[in-house]
Amino acid sequence: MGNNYSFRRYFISLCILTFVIALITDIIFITEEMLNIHLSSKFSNTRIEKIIDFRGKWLWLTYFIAPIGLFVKIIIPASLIYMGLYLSNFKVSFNDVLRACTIAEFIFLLPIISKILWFGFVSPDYTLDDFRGFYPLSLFAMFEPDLLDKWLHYPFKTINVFEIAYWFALAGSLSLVLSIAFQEMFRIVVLYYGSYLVCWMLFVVFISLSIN
Amino acid sequence: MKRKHLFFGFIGILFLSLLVLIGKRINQKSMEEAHFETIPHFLFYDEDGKEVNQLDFENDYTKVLVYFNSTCSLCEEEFHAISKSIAKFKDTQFIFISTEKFEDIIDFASIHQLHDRKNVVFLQDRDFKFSTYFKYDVVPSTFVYNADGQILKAYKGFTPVKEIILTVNGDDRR
Repeated sequence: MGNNYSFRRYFISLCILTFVIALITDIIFITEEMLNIHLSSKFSNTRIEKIIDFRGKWLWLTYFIAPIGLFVKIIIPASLIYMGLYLSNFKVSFNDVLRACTIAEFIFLLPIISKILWFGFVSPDYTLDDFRGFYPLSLFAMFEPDLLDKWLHYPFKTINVFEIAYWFALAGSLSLVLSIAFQEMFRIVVLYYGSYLVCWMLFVVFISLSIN
Repeated sequence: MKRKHLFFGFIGILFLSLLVLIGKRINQKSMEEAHFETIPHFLFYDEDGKEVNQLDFENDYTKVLVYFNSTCSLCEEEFHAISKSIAKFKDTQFIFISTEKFEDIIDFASIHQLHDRKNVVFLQDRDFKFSTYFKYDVVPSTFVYNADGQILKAYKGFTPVKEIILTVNGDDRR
């Protein structure tokens, strides 16, 4: 019961933080004026009005869907790690694994916070493309986006310092929650979560090659 | 131990299959890109509803193909600029394409004094196939082909008319 409560507590905190950051981004950083400028090179005025109207009407829905997405994002590595632990003959509870994965997930708030700080204080004159294409400390940030093939965008964005930090944080939180040696947990994270991530990146590359 | 092997065997097969699929797709894509080096096979409609394809434009002119929409403000600007500078384009065939009704296309063309001009053609993409043929779905989009139908430049979004003129008049393959 205690463990369940802990998972819930971490998950709710994560959802609240994600919601606050999304709200700040949508209200302060992606303004209607900026959307207008961005869309004017692509669509007619009537269509732009419709797009902005649609956004205004339905944006709230994304805040409600976000926790579901977040839960799926946590349950996938948790299931893989649990399977890895099971196959390595560790008897642990799934709730503990879920809790450790939720704690590690906080790492992914850092790139969003650094984006807000960057455009809020360091580079306040930005366009929507600058804002959307900002992936700090990633392989993507080392290249000019226009020169990169579109199908390379996702893997180049995914390979970043925060992703590596997440692997260490996940191994660390698993080690703490389950009281198993860090090296052992890191091996399981690399083998089970790592192999999933590589396959997922390849799958997304294949899909983007097919639709672009 | 056996289950572990099963898991990594599955991951290995998945990994290799994805690599093979990606390799095939990249290969196919590079073949497609080679296809877009020249004016693609297309089928649009003229004012009388007659089918028009790329073969109808086999002539000694450089071709400027503009995909537009009359309600788009940037298209309006581009039309205005082309109309004003049309004399500066040497031996050029203009092909304007829109998905709209022909009445709207002609109204728009007339406002910008481009209707019924020599070497200016308006076509309707009533089947919404432009992006399939040309891979661009942004209005305005401008494509410049030389007299042999080989691409000189493709512009996504609004393009200053000066740039188009430079590309057209720099075409030495006429």
